[in-house]
Parts: sequence; C-alpha cells; structure tokens
Amino acid sequence: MNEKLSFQNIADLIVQKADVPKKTADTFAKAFFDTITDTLVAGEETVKVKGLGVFKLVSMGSRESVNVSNGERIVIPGYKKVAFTPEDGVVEFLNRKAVEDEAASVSAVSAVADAPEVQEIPAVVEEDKVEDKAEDASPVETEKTVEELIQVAEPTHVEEPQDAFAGIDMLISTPESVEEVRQQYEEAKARMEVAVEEARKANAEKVRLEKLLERLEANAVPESVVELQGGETKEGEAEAAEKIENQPSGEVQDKTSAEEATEGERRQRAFDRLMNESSRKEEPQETRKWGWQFWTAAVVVFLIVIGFLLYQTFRNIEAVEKVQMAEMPAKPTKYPAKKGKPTITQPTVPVASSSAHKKDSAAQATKSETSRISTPSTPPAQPAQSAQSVQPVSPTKPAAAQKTEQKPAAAKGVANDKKQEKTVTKDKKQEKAVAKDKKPEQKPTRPTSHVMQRGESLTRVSQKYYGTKDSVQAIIRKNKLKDPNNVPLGYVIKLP
Amino acid sequence: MTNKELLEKLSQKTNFEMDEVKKLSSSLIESVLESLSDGNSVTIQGFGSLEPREKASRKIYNPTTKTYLVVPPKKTVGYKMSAALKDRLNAK
Repeated sequence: MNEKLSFQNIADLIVQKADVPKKTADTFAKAFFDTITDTLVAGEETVKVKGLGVFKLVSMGSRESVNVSNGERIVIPGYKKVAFTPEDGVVEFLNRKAVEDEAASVSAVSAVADAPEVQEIPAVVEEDKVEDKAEDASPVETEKTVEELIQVAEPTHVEEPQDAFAGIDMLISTPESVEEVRQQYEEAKARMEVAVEEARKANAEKVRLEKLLERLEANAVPESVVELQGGETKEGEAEAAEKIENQPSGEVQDKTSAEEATEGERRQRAFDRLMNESSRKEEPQETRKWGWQFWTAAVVVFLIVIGFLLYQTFRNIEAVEKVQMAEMPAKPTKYPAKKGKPTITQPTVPVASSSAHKKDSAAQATKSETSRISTPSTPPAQPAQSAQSVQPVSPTKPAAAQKTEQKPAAAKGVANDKKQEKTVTKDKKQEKAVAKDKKPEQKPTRPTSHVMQRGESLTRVSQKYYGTKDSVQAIIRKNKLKDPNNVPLGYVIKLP
Repeated sequence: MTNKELLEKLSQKTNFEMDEVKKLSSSLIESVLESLSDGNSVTIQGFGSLEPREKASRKIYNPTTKTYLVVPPKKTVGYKMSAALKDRLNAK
C-alpha cells in the first residue's frame, strides 16, 4: 500500500506473470513506454493502450499570472502535456477491488449515511434504491447506476464560449470610435427625450383644446366657460374659445334657431368655422386665434425635427460602423490603436453634416406647405411652452420659421398635415428601432470595472482592456467567478 | 495510435513475435493495474507516474427530476508526465 513502484518492480511482476526471462521483460517494458512517449513526441495526438486507457496530447494555452514576490504580471507560456484518461474497465476494476477489500457494505453505508443530509425532499426514493441494490446485487452496480444518472446532468456547456466569441469578434472596435459612437448615441438619445417630452406636452395641449371645444359646443352658456378657461389657461386657448363664441356668424344663428340640429352637426359646423377662420388668418397677430390648428402644426414640426436629428445621427453611426467593419478583417485580434479614429471620423462627419444641411434645405423646400401653415404661429403668438420646445430641439428651424413667417400663409387644410405627421411618425419609429439596435454597441470604458454585455465573454473583456487573452484568469480570480463561462448579463466586473 | 498499431510497433522494435508481444503487454498492464489497485503508484523513468487517486463523494442535483443524489467516492487513475517527457514535448 502507498508504495512507489519503479520500473524494476513492474519488470519483476511481468517476469512472474508471463513467465519470461528478466531480460525479456526489461526490454519489453522499456520498449513499451518508450514507444508511447516517442509516438507522442512525434506529434501523434492520442495513444490508446487497451486495458489501460488513452494517453492524449493536450496543448495548454499561455496564461497570465502574477509574480508572487513583486506582484508583477507575468505570462506563463503555453505548453503541451500528456493527459491520461483511464479506461472504464480500469476504474471499475479499481473500485471493485476496493469494495471487495473493504467489505461490500461500507460503500452502501457511506452512500446512505451521506444521503439524508442532502436529500431533503425527493431523496427517499433514491435512497431506497441505493440501499436495495446495495443489498441485492453487488455494490458496483449501484455505483454504475448512479454514474449513469450523473451522465445526464453533465454534458452541454463546453462549446458555448467559442461560438459566442466568433460572433463578437466582428464587433471589436477602437475605443475612440466606440467612445464617439456612444457620445453620438447619448446626444441623440437626449435630444430624442427632450423632443418626445415636448411632443407629449403639445399633444396634451391639443387634446385639452379639443376637449374644451367640445365642451363649449355642448355648453349652452358659453360666457362663463370662456372666462374660466381664459383665467387659468393660456392666451391661445382662451382666444380660440372666445373666437368660437364671439363669432356670431350666420351659421351660429342658424344653429340656435334650428334647435333640432344634432350634436354631431353642431360640432361639424364649429369645426368648419374653425377651418375657415384659420384659412383667413395671415398675419401673426391673428394667428393666435386658431389654437387648434396651431397645435397640430406644432406637433408636426416637432416630429419632423426629431426625425431629422435621428436620421443624421443614425447615418453617422452607420458610416462609422461601416469603416470599422471594413477595417476589422485586416487586424482582427490586435488591439486597434489610435489610428482608427482620424480615418473614421474625419471623412464621415463632414459628409453626414453636409448631407444633413442638404436635407434641411430640402426639408424647407418640400415642407413649405406645412411650414407655411405651421411656422407663422411659432414665434410671437405662441404660448411660452411650445416656444421653448421648438428652439432647443432644432437650431436650424427657428430661422426657417422666421423666414416663412413673413410669407403669406396659404392654408391647405388639415389633411395634408395629418399625412405628413403620419409619415414622420413612421420615420421616428424606425429611428427609434435603429437606436435600440445600436444600444449593444455602447461600451463603458471605465478602467476599474466593466458591465457585461450580451454575448460578451471574459476573453473579449480581457482582449479589450489588456490587449491579450491571458488576463482572463486574472479577471476570474479578481471577481471570484464560479462559472467563467456563464457570467450574467449586466454583471459588473472588477478589472484587475 | 490504436492499440494494434502500438503492438505492431513494439513487435518491430523488440523483434518479438506478435503473440509474444500481446502476452507481454497484457501481463505488463495487468501488473500495473494490480499495483495501482493495491494503492501503489507506478513511476516509470522518462514516462511519468501512474497513481491511484481517490475521488471524494459529492452531491449532485438532477434538475429534471429535482432530486439530489450522492455520488459515492471512487478510485481512479491519475497520470502525471515526467519532467523529461515535458521537456521533450516542448523542445524546439
């Protein structure tokens, strides 16, 4: 027991077993082990020895470690080693021997003794099984069954990191450009949020105005309502309301005289009146009177502006990405240095901005109709809220608005506006979706920690921050990760 | 390399008959295994050492049946290559 047998002992055993001269046994045993090693050294991957197991050549990758004495980071170079997997029969043989030696009951007892601790709920069946088998058949069999059960649980998570890695490699990019993309993305997001906020306000106002209109229509006593609303709310609303009431046109008289007129008809008429009014208004002073139309127009303007901003930023991002993609295959694994940034940003930014300008002018041209309707109302008559809302979102727009303001507005009705609004909202949705897609690209470059992204492996993280895959072990150690192949999404990794 | 190839190579190397080689190799393996099962480790110069290793019992959980199982301790064979072999493999 626990002796260290040498070559000579084995040779002696062979002599006993095979009944051959000592010399033969010696030479044979020597040749036997030499052949195995020679074959492996010659580059053969595996050597199968029947009755013993498989000797396999395994390459160990280089990894990074720390010099214990001075804390320096050192790279342990990769090397080849021989791994040995014993045959099933060998393991069985060893265990059977052990069991026979130590009396059959022991293993069964130990198995059962351990069981109650762990097998809290469902254990009973399994426990019984083990016991029965231990008593009935040989203990080896019980072990076998257990082993079979183990087999089920174990396989599956080996290939995964490799696959994920292949996909991610494409995304490797220079930190600068990533930074830039992120900035752009952040800007776009901020702008979008502001715009959405404004749009929502505008929408709320619109709804309120519509409600007010309805109420006024329904109410028999208009004066009080007008006073109330005018007192609390904005000028535009109040005046719009007043307008409706103070216009004693023929229609209104008709309406009052024809008491049978239904609610729907009345509303329709009021709507028509509003339309007529708004179409008549050409000067800014008068524009304040058609609040309802103004609000829809304001919404349209917002959406257009948002759409353009998003489109611009998206184009920027896309251009940058394209250049990156083109660069990738050339140097995929190397940590991309600062070269990337100027080549990427300088060409793309001017293009994008110029195109944006073009687009803006084009927009002015194409949307002159809508702007004629919408923009006059923008600066003076506007309630404070919407004035604020337009200006921060679009630096180019106010100028355009002022220009078109002086032009006589040819009102075309709401139908056009609605159409435009629809298309613009569609655009906006697309942009939103695109922006969402971009999100995974966002990579924090904080030096001390890293948030795991979808599909990212530790190897990637190591590659990104250290330029080598060898730091994976260091990261794992630093974070005390139990399963390096399965780091939860969003997990914040401390970087050593 | 399969077992057959190994034996053929051995037969060439030692100039023994195939039958002889088979008999010898089986007796060699047997003696190694017996030593191992007796708890002794076998160290061969230039090759490495084979030693019996104890695997402790462990508790496993079967997620499909939601049951815990105790895997009994078992013995297996461990191998560690010799420094000489490592040097030979990683020369160049």
